[in-house]
Amino acid sequence: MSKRRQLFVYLLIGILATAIVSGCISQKETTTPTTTQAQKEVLEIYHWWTAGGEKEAFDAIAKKFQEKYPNIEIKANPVSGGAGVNMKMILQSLMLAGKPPDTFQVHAGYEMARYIKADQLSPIDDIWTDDMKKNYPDVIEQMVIFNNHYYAVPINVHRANVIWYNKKIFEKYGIDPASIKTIDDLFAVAEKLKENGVTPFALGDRNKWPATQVFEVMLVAVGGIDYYQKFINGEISDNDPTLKKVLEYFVKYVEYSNPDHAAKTWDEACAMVYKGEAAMTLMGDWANGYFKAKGWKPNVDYGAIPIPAGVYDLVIDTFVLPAKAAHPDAAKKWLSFIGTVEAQNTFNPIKGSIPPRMDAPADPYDPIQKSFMEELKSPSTKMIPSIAHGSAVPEAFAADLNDIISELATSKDVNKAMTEIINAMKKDLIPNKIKEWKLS
Amino acid sequence: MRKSPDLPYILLFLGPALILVGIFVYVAVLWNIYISLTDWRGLLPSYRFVGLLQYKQLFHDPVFWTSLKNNILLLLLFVPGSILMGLLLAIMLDRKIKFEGGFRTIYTLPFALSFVVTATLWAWMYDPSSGVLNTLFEKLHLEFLESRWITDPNIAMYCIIIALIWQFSGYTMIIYLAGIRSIPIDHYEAAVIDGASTWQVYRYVVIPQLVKPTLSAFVVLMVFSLKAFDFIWVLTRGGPGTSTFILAIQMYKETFAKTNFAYGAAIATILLLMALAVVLPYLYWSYRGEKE
Repeated sequence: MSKRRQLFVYLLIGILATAIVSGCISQKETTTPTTTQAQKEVLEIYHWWTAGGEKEAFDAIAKKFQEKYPNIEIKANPVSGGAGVNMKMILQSLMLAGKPPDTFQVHAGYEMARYIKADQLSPIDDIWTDDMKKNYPDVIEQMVIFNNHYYAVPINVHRANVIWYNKKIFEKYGIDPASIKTIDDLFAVAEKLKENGVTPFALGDRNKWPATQVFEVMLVAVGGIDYYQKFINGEISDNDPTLKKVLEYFVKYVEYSNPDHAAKTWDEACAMVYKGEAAMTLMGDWANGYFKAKGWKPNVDYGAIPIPAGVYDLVIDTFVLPAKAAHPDAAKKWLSFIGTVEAQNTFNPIKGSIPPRMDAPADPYDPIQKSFMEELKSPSTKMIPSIAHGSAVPEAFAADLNDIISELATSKDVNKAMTEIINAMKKDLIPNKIKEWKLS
Repeated sequence: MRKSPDLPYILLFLGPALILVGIFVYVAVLWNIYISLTDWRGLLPSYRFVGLLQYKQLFHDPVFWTSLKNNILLLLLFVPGSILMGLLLAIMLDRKIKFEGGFRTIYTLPFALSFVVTATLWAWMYDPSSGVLNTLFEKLHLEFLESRWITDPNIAMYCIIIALIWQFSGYTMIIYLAGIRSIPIDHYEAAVIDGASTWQVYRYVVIPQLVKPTLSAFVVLMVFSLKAFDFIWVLTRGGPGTSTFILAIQMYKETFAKTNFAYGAAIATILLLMALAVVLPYLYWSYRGEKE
């Protein structure tokens, strides 16, 4: 009996020792920062801009903000990982712990849905002044509105539907880029290049999303805006003939591409165009930044053709206000600030994107960006939210599409892809749908 | 068992560790099993009990069967492959050759490298256009051997298995080398005096005594094969399509990309069951061995 009691006492000591040690550790973590934060208000920001130009762009806008509000100290937490893949997990654990940052970066549209569904974001209708409402395009506004409330402020616009081409190759074969307006024009050019032994398209879908991006461009190029809207609203039925045609066009694009596409990344595909190993690549306008960094001059060494013409496929970064933000006032000042022309024209020329505000002056931008800004302002331009970049459809469906389309790119089995897309739509789009898109 | 007077001290020092392992491993495992019986989908937990619904859906999910098939391929090819390669290397090194230490280092090095590094390296080897393999075949005029390697869904999984065997052979070699060296020298001498050839010495003296190292290598490799996540993730991201998915990759995709936590937990539970199916017989066997 006494032996057992002794054992019990030892165990108790063990537990106590563990508790004390772990207590000390956690106390250390919580006490030190609070003392230094006393004088200045802190604004904690999470974002994923860690690469060269992106980081400088963020630093520039943070500096501008601090000049305006010297009493707010920005504590930026950049989390590396393209498109915020790692940041999502960090945010999730912070929110589960009830300690979200004051604001964070997120793509406009459905990528915000996981937070909104869990009541983790505050509506920011008061931030959206009449001036902002007047100057942001409608579809962009629609991308941050859920249940009739504004939830985010967009800071930039990227474009996903652009063909980037090597000017030297186009000149050599006498191809007029202005003649390419539709997807069939593009394939006619591709055929001509192929006959001359040139790889028409560079594709790099090792990370899967570049294939999905090609697919979404085919969706709108083949089916038009109305069909695109039907697709992202989940209103496609079994054996839809248009979907079949879209997938056949996708396969055709892959057949005009480099055969080793599944081993390459998007930037390796851009490198093929830069080296003249392929004539074109379909990529977002971050390819523009890639070519400029290589020393190419826009519209001199390379050019951009929006495909299909008159459509703007939007990829937009925004900032939001978490419901449990520790410093909501500072966060609101930040959100109002990034909605200004001044902030957007500080950030975007460095980042390589364009401002979402229509009244931003175009002088700091390169000729390709200027033409994109012109298009965004034109009333005849149709805007669509991107599927591959998490805006148009629930994340679960986008994740499925990545697998289905990247498999299609190697198997070329259109019928199988069709069944799988319809199944995924029933399983992962419709049950997770929380908004209805109206694009036209 | 004999009562030891040191028991209180043993408990004092092991107690904290036992408690922490209890909380962070066993409670977590139970919690995971519980989550797999709920309908948690989305950012915040939902603990509504739905029974075996997730498992039912899982068994109707073609991706699950692809992942399971790949996990089984790993068990059937990668585990015996690494063991055979390791055994061969160990026997070759045991021939009292010069620079044994040097060779040992070279063979073991792949195991010392991070999986991310070796996977990146193999991605270069397998690159269909500029990779080492295809370039080599081209230079040697063996064009018929050129292939699309990891970009071909039909053979991608086998390419991964070969790369994994390369990485783990050094590890099994070390285990076997230690096993061979621990065989008493008089066993060899007796065999040689009886006129056994080298082949017969290995066949009848050495290999029968390597059961224990083989078993421990088996368990380590099998458990690794269930979670070869990082290697495959870096090499192919599970692609093309889902052709190189394993259960760990599907679990990751469901849990973090699709915030489908209950479904991911169900996959994790199945992984756990597979791991137990491997480890429990081994534990039973080694426990019995100790008793004898």
